[in-house]
Amino acid sequence: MTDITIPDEMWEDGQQGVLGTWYYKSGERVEAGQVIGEVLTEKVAHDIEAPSSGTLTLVVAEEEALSRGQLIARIE
Amino acid sequence: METATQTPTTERLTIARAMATALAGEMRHDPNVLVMGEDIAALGGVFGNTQGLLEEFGPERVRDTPISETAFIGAAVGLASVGMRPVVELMFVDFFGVCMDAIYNLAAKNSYFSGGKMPVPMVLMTSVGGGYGDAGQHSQCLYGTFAHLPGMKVVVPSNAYDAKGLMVAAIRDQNPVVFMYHKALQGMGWLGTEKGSVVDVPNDSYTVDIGSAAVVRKGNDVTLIGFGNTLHTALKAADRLAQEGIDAEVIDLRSLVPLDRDAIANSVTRTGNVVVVDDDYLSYGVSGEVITVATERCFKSLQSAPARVAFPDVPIPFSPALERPWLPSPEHVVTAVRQQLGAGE
Amino acid sequence: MIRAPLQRLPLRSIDNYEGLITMQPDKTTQLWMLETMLVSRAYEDAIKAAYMEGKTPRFNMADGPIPGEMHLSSGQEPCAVGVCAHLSPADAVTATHRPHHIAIAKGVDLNAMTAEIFGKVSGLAGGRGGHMHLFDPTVNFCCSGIIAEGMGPALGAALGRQLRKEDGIAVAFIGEGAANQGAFHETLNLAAVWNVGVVFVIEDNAWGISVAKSASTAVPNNAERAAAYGIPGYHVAENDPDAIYATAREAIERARSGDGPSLIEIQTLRLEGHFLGDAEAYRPEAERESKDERDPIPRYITQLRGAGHLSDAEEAALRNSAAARVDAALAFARSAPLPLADDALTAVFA
Repeated sequence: MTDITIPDEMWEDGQQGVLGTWYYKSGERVEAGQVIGEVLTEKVAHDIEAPSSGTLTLVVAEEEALSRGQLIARIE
Repeated sequence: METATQTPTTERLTIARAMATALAGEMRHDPNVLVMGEDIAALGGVFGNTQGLLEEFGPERVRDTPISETAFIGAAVGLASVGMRPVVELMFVDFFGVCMDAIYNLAAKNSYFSGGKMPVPMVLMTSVGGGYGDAGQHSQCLYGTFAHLPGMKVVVPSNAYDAKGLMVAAIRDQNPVVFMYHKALQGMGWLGTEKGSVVDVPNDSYTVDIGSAAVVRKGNDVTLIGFGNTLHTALKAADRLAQEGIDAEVIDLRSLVPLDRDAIANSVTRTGNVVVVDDDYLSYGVSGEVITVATERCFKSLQSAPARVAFPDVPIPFSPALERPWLPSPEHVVTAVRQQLGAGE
Repeated sequence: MIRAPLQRLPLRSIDNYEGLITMQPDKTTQLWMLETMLVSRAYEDAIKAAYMEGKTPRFNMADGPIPGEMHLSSGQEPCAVGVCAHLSPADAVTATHRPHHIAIAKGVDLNAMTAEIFGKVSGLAGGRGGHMHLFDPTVNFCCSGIIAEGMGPALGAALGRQLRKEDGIAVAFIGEGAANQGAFHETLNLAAVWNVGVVFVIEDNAWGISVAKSASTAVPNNAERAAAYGIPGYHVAENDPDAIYATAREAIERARSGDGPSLIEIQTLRLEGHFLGDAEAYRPEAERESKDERDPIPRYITQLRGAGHLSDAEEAALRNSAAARVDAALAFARSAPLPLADDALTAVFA
């Protein structure tokens, strides 16, 4: 099982990040390397790539505010 | 945990990404393809449809233009005349007023005026649609305006798969193609997105034939016809009608010019009832054209008067209290279908 | 109306306006300009806060009490006050998608304007137009969202006054991006050929969404383009109310005396992004960071204090009254009712 977490470098102190869009639902199969969603920060939209192949479980919903290091999805 | 043994063959894309992917693919295999428009280079497009192109292909082939539509769209016609294949963006279709001559008198007519000897292989991509408070000069669809004038093909994708295939087809077409993409389907950070438009798209190059509609839901009781954003309205209406025991067939027109009249006629002949969903202005447009096809070709099969759900003939108002009640919705479609089918009782 | 033989008028460059000592504003005018800029800035700050309501944590332009686009004028206030100080309600002004500072300086009803921005029935158009389409015939102000397209109507308004032998001229405000649009060239030429008393004011904030002026414009200063049409062109290098006032006075007096059109180009400053929600990734970091140092309002306050024209108490009073006016306008807008759906179908035809 692989955890997908927000990297510490994704944004700076004082800024915010939010889950923008998920392109897949929980239970769907994803392949390593596919872009599965996006995180929006104040400057940029960041692609979230699947680090491995397997069944996706979403842990946060769209429009939720995020913290750096937060778990957002799992693949198993 | 599985390890990846092969790279995936599809990606789930938004329409914006699908357009950028199509452009990149074509630009790689044909050095004559270039892209121009306002904010399409460094910014990757206000609507995200040219992301990554400047980085890969450089500023000669990916050009930010001044606010000079008549000049750069006219220039696209000229580029096409010497063997280039330009893709030009008109940022909002509502801006056509400042450059329509280059579109409908030049791009659309040069092939005809030259007996086919000087075709215009260009793509004009342009954003359409409202519903988010951008008011009367930034929310229009204008499908009817462009479909009405001879000499240009017009396509309207409802999802990322069709968007990529239609864009590749448009770039390879020897004729001017107006590629109208709806803002509610793009998938951008600053506007909501219709989920149904985000679908799996093959990584390889492929085309979707221009001029062919798709039956996206088979049914027997009524034909619902939509395109672009209204295809999703029609699908949602079909889901609700199913709960009432009404089985709707849903057609995605995908192209307005050429219009797949056979697809319309085949379906309506079978179901006998038709509702067209069009978020352009009501009168003198696509909805009227589709109903005319149904009437001319399916008259004896019709069980009810064809109906349409469209935006009223008023400038699109700013206030959501004024705009939203009038945008074509699944409720409007369901009501229209009930009236058609109930009329038989 | 036939013009005298075509002249190539020399370019006036107002880099040092102190030379035009007789054209400088008096203290009363300066205080009016400061007060109006304070109202305008307080207004933009309040509108920004209201606009962002409902749009966090995830920004969706359709959400909140003010949906759609929002183009704030913070930093560009001197252009509005320096020009409008010379105008009366009979003078027509057309503006762009970034209109608030000009509307305020022109005397548009702030309550009705705010209600319009909030899409309420008490708005200038009952919510039909919104922030980019503000029309107030009582002070002859209107704006719209298609680049450069306000220039023709300004020409027509001024021409109409001349034909009807009424007082009144016209001013069209545009951005520097508009100088590359067909309407710019057509309108300057026509205004010159017909000798119309219209003044064209370019608020040059150096950016057309993400494209810098240097990448879109063939000449370094659009004021030079006036020569192509045989009309005077003025280049104001400082985002300073007094410099703008002095320049505008000459151009407007020319228009009022029947001597025809002028083009004024002002190097101003856009403090916010092109539209709210714009991350401005295209703007160089150094430029984004130095903006607040170049804010024209604190600079003008320092200048007025230095001249002995403004005391602590006076400044505080102006700020308080600006805040009160803005608070009242927002309160009026928020408490006004929404229009009814059927109101969308009316007012299409008079």
